[in-house]
Amino acid sequence: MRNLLLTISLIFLSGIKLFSQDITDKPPHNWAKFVHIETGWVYPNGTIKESIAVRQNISSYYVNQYSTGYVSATTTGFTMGARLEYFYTKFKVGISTGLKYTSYNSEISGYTSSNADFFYLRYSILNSDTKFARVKALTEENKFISIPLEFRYIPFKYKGVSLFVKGGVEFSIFNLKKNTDIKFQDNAMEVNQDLILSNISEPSNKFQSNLYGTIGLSFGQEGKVNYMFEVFLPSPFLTTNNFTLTEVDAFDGFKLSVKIPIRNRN
Amino acid sequence: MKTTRLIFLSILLLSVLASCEKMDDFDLSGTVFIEDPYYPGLPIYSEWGYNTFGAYIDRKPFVSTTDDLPVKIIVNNDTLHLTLRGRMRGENVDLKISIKGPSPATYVELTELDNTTFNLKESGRAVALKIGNATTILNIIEGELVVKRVQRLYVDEESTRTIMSGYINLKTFLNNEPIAISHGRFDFGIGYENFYNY
Repeated sequence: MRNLLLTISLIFLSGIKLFSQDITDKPPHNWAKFVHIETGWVYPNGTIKESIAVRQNISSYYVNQYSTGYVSATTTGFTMGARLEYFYTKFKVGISTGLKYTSYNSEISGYTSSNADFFYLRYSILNSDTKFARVKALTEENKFISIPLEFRYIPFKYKGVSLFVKGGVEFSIFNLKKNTDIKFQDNAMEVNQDLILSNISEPSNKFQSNLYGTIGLSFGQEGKVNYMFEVFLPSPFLTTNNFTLTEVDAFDGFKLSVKIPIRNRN
Repeated sequence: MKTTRLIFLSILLLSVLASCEKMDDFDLSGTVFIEDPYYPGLPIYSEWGYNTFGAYIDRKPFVSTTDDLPVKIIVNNDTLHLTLRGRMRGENVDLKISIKGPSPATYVELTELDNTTFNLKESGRAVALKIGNATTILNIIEGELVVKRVQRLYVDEESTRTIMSGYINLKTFLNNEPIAISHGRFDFGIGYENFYNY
């Protein structure tokens, strides 16, 4: 995986250099070029999938309910990437693309009571026999390489601070890793992990894509390195069945990035 | 002296571990009440062993509580007695259904009742309703106990209890007036603490 990432990065950086050289021969007026190096965190919103049969999964908040236990699902994502942007200074709009790495981690965890930090997962119904496992957590890991396409607009600028809005779409091209794991209360149940996972989980989409919008601030002078902070507006996934454990349809989050101007050679 | 202390600590540790095992099983005997959005005041019908029951006695919800065992099954002299204990408008209420015939020796053998309907008007069947301190043997107009599903439950590959789920509906007389016990549903975990055969 490391070699693959290195290869992709070298190809990408070579592309930027070649492309930049080609453009510098005849630089168009009002156009500026930037490289964005970015990192961020995303928080998909979702619920435990119906196929994952968890006892005390009380998700209907609109009705009266009582239980000493609680079960919940969380998914978080870490992203990092690089983009090349062409920015039309006259209208203050830019278009960019690049490569992005995203790592999603999902977890279902809970407790049955204040003394029992596990929940019951039903994994088998056969004739009159039903089987539960005491589970501390169900976890899932997904790692993607994707290509984003973004449009940026700066509606307001004052001295060294710019307000910008972005819209973008992203398509994954490689699924580097997909892994689901169970942490049992009783270690002796580990031998049944593969059987239980095959019983409870359904295949999920190998690739994912999403549509997103952000709003943010850029700090720095024109022609110099700028530092940017932006917040994702609630953004939908375009693909469905993205995860094995959770049903997610949208995400939010935030991103930090550095914008580096590429100077034209005269 | 050192040996005695070691033995004492070992006994103490084993006692703690043993009590932790009992606490695990106790969680399955607790109540998980999820209100039915279509029948306010009653729990949903479920087959998870949530230890709940509920029915309307005319319009009043008669439901299990978190304090009392919601059910006791007593098998005695070839008769199975199912006693539901709950509350209705702040009053303690017991509904006892007696059925001659089924005689499971253990709670595991309750699976013989899977997918069975009992007509409560037939001979060998009796229903009693206790509201507060007053007990009434009910004269049944019509009614049935539906045991929809009985499951043997294994937790971490060990047999622990039996889950019994179903419905109850009946019409009868109370204080010389016809009443209905309707939309009744139950979802019980039956184990050592609430099954008796003597």
